[in-house]
Order: sequence, then structure tokens, then C-alpha cells
Amino acid sequence: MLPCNCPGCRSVLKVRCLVCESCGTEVSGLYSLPVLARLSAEEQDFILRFVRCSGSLKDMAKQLGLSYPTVRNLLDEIIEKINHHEE
Amino acid sequence: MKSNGSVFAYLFKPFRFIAGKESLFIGLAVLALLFVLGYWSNTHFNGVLDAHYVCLTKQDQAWVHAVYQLVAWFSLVMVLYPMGRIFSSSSVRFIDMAGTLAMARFPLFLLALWGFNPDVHPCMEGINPFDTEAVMSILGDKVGLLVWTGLFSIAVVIWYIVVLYNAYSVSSNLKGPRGGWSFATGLIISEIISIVLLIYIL
Repeated sequence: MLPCNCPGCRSVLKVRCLVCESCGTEVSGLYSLPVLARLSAEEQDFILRFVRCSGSLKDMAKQLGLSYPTVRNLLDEIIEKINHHEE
Repeated sequence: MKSNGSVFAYLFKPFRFIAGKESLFIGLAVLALLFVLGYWSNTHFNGVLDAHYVCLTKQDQAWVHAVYQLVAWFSLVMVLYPMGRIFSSSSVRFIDMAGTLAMARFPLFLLALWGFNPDVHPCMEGINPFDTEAVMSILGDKVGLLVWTGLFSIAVVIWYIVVLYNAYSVSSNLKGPRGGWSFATGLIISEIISIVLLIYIL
């Protein structure tokens, strides 16, 4: 899981350097983490499932063994979190 | 993210796993069973939060018990569904609210079953409640049982309210202070509506 917050002050971390594993080239800069990377592993898993189910909450509810409103509530929570991160 | 179906979750938050049409079918079965058990055990669920053990010599007709269940369910849905729509930013489906609120009455089975004990149906009609001698002569050695019945009823009603809240919370995606006060207000209003409707119908 990618660390997203500073362990010292809890501020959002940024990417300073990216490395190519095959030739060793390093690209330095100051890049913001994408919004999806800032979600928890569970939330990222939920979004992947959501896309694989073609956005069908009913199919997701069946897959997860949860009720439809429970899955819809989880999605609403993720939407709220994404909106919060984008602000 | 997978479901964690522990016994606790099924007893207090069954709507995490069951909602929509499924909950409506189960909920209607719950209401039907409560009507039958209430009639047989002479336990009157005359209101959203009410359960009374009536004197066994005073037996109402079966349809009265059916009306109790329908009125309680109707009052809950007619108040909590609009409240969910007003206070929640999520989409609230009527079928979820109607189904889960009907299903949420299942803890009341315990009160109906408890009512099969004839000793919990004291006949107090026409007795002055301040006349301790008269009251004690009727209660006799059943006082202990009636105290336990009171405590048991409180525990079951608390369980029932928690399950009702979870039905409302899951169906409308409302929790925290907003979910709490909107539910409490809705519950009080639906209790008043159910009592007024029963006075009017019966």
C-alpha cells in the first residue's frame, strides 16, 4: 500500500522521484498523488470491483454477500472521500 | 469488503445483508407471525413501541391483531421514509425502507412467546392502582415473575429500537447525530400516529 500521509505531521505526501527499473533512469520533480491512490486498499478494491461489474451495484451486492443499500452506502462514502480529496 | 456475517451482525444489523424485495418478503412473514402469536398469546402490540399482556378473559378478535401490525408498520414507513428522503443526500428506495422496517419487528417475537405464560396476564381492570392491598391480592406470588417480565420487556424493546435504527440507517445512509435525531423524532411521531390511528380504527 502506497503511503499517502506524512508519518510526522499527517500532511499529504507528494512524489519526489520516479525510477525506471530496467535502465535506472530517475525522474525527479514534485508530483501530486492521484486521488485514487489516496484511498485505502479496501476502497481501491471496491472501485476495481465496481468497474469489473460494469457499475452494477446489484451485481456487486451479490458478489460481496451484502445488501444493495449497504453497497450503495459504501459507494456514497467513497464519492464523498473523493470529493473531499479533490477540494 | 466481503460480508462478515457474525451472529451479532445478524441479530442487530441483518440489513447489511438483506434488503429490498427479500427484506419485504421476510418482513411480511414477520408481521404475519407476530399477528398470529399476538392473537394466540393475547399479547397486544397496539402501537409502534407497545406490547401489553391483556387479561385472558378479555380476548379480542383476530383482525384486531392484524390491524395492530399493519398500523405499526404503516406508521413507521410513512414517517421514516420521507425523513430519509429529506435528510439523506443518498438515494433512498421505498422498498428498502418498507422491507427493513417490517423485518425489524422480529425481536417482538420474544414478547409474544413470553405472553404464552398465563401468569403474565394479570386482570387489573376496575382496580385502584393506589390500593396496594387490592393490587397485591391479585398479583399474589406472581410479583417476582412480573418484575422479570418488566425487565425482559425493556431489554427486548431496546433491542427492537436498535434494529429499527439500523433499518433506517442502512436504508437512508444516515448515521451520526443527523441519523440519531432524525430517527428519534421519526420514531416518536410514528408512535403517536399509530396510537391515533388505532383509536380511530378500533
